[in-house]
Amino acid sequence: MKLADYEKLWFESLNQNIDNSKKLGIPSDRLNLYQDFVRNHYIGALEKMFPRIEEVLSPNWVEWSKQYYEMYPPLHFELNSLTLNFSNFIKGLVDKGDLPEYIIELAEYELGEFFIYTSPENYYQEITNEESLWINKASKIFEFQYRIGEWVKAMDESLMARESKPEKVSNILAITRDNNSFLCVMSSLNEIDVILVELLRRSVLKVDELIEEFYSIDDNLKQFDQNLLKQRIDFLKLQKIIL
Amino acid sequence: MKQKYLGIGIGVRRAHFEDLLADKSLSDWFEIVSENYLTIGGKSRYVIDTLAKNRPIVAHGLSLSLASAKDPDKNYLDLLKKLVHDLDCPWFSDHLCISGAHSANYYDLIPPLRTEESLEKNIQKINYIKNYIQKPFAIENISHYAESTHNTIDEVDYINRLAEETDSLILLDINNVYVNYLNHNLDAKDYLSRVNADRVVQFHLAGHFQREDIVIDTHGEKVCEEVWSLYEWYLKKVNRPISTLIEWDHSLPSYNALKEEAEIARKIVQKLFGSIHEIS
Repeated sequence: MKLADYEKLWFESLNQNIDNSKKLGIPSDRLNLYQDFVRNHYIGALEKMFPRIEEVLSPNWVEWSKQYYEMYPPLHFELNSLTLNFSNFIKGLVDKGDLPEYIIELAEYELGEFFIYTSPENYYQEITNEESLWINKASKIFEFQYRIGEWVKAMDESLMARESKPEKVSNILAITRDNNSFLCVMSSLNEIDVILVELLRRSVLKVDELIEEFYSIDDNLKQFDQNLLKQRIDFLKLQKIIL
Repeated sequence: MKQKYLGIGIGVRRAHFEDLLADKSLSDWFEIVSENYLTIGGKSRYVIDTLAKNRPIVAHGLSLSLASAKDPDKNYLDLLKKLVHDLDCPWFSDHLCISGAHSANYYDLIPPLRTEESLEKNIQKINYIKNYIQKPFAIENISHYAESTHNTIDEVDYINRLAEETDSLILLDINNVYVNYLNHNLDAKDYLSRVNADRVVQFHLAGHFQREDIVIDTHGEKVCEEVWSLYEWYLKKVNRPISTLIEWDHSLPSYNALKEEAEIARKIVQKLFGSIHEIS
């Protein structure tokens, strides 16, 4: 047998669930063992990444995760990357009416939390000028239609039943990694905070420069009290969104 | 082919991060799963960077798919090269298996096809990888649950020829040999005797799980008595200490329990060779 044929037979067996055991010259039950191993690695990674969704969707979780495996076979060497399409998959189920709408945002939240926690951005970001404000690159802002943050916190602290649903209210949420403790911090932001963060994403600025940039955006923003603006900057620093 | 004897090491696992950072009497060396650190930062990276300041670290991968005809993923090789050089690994290693094909990754170790044609392709691939990474490379024997009737070359002969032709080292997993012995009725001592000992740079020792129908290489149990006996027997036979790593991936014990397992290996080495800190 040629190596290319051998590999193709294994691929069909593992990714398309075809029983090629005879062609491979191995017992069928042993091929099943490998099929189970590969599928279990995949489902295990999903469970690790989406523990709250697993809890909410149980007992349908295993069936959904098998469907996801078939739609999005693992293509990347990094096991966790196989979860990147999960929000799209969930959206498909929501569109079909199989799942409630808020699950899409829960999936985005759980995915974001993991990738912020493991972000390769420097954990010891070099601050060469302490007067300047830097954006913490290990952070992500979500604009949600549901109060996912509060709901997740209540679920994690067992203050809310699994059957409960998050309130439908537009809100802005940030997840940030504290680069000293490496823990993720969740913060509720307002629209002013988002503008400040966007300005700092474009360039490193001193406080005065940031304020000047903020007021130069449009006339409406000029009405915003400067002391309150400084308070928001301090809040963003406290939440480790700004370094 | 001699490499520095690193002593007795343990695998770095996330559940032990705090213990590792607090430990004042660290193991002699550490092994990491390469894929867990190629694209991931944060605490994981901080821990291995901290450990690397004090102890050697070897990067042990799952994704090179040495037994596959598939070309190595260039992005993976770039990241692996950076990791191996950043940590100044004395060597890096991967398994003699197929871990992906046709753009898919299996995250598992599919047994290789052992024919003259596949050997030639595996040699080309390993030579390419070694040349690219520019560090000594070790090939590990795997545990497998299926022996294809299409194989035409004996497993030990295949590994020896592959190591010889590519000037690679061998990472000898004694538990894998023992699991294969149980599942395929092999002669474990005959297998170990025929491995080219001059190229063996490292051992893996781990536990397995005995099901009714088959033995699974879980890395989730203590090393069994029979594997300890084979370890001691092999060391006596080759008459030199070999860097040894305790692997434990599932149902992780406490950090101290893992270190106690490593101490068993240390006592065997000390019994045979005395107190050895470093042998070149």
